[in-house]
Amino acid sequence: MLIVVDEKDLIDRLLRQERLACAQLVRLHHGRLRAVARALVGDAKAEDIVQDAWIAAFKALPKFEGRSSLKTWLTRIVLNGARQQLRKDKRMPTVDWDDFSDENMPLSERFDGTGHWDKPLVPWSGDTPEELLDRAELAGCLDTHLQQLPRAQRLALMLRDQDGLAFSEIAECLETTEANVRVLLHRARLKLLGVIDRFEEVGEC
Amino acid sequence: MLKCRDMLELGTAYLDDGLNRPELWAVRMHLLICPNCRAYIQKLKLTVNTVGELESYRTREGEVELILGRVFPQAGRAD
Repeated sequence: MLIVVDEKDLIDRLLRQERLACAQLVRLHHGRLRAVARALVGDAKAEDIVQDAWIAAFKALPKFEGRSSLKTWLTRIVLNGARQQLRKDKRMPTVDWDDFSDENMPLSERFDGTGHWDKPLVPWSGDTPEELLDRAELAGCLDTHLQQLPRAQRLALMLRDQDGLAFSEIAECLETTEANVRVLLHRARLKLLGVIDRFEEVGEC
Repeated sequence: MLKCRDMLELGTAYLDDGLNRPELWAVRMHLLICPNCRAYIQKLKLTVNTVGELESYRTREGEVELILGRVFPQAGRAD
């Protein structure tokens, strides 16, 4: 059994086309799916792609086997739509040099001449996401910095850490290698680690 | 032997099963002896989990009705 009980219950209600369940699903995922589409095809076409994806998703729901979460499944449908649009426009989801740049990476200056940490790392005030995000300011700060990441880094982070896609799927989506996706993801994660570190140290974004 | 500077770059590969067996062994050995790198990996892991919990992309008011109207054009408004 690969789907969690709550999700299975939601799926049962969706299959019965209970309006509240359908509304709950859209409310939960639409904003995020639009952000994924935007990052790939731009603002103008993202809305249509996500609307078409919802129509496709509700139609395909009886065939949903629960091999992934609904979230991941919906993301895949949006990605397919976005990639079809890119092909139609004869565009490629390019990855720029900026996406791989490691200038000013957090922690990179924290080593001594022997390659070891120059001073101990200070622990954060919380041990769980809930404890850290309890401070709304930090959540807002992370959101801001996430939006400022280079596009391919942002996509890699959203698709992996927020949507749960496999590296192979992200590589296909970005038309690059899995190794490159790992580099992009690592850059993005380190930057956000740096944001939390700074917030913990100075108490502001 | 790995240095802490190497560990900085290997963090994501370690967390996402991207290391081959010798690399994984080297990382585990380093983590056994280095509290700072253990702290770094813990921070990286917590960053990943925290990013996963962010509610960055809220669905705007009115969008739910719009989408449901397109998906189920024959039905009335949602409850």
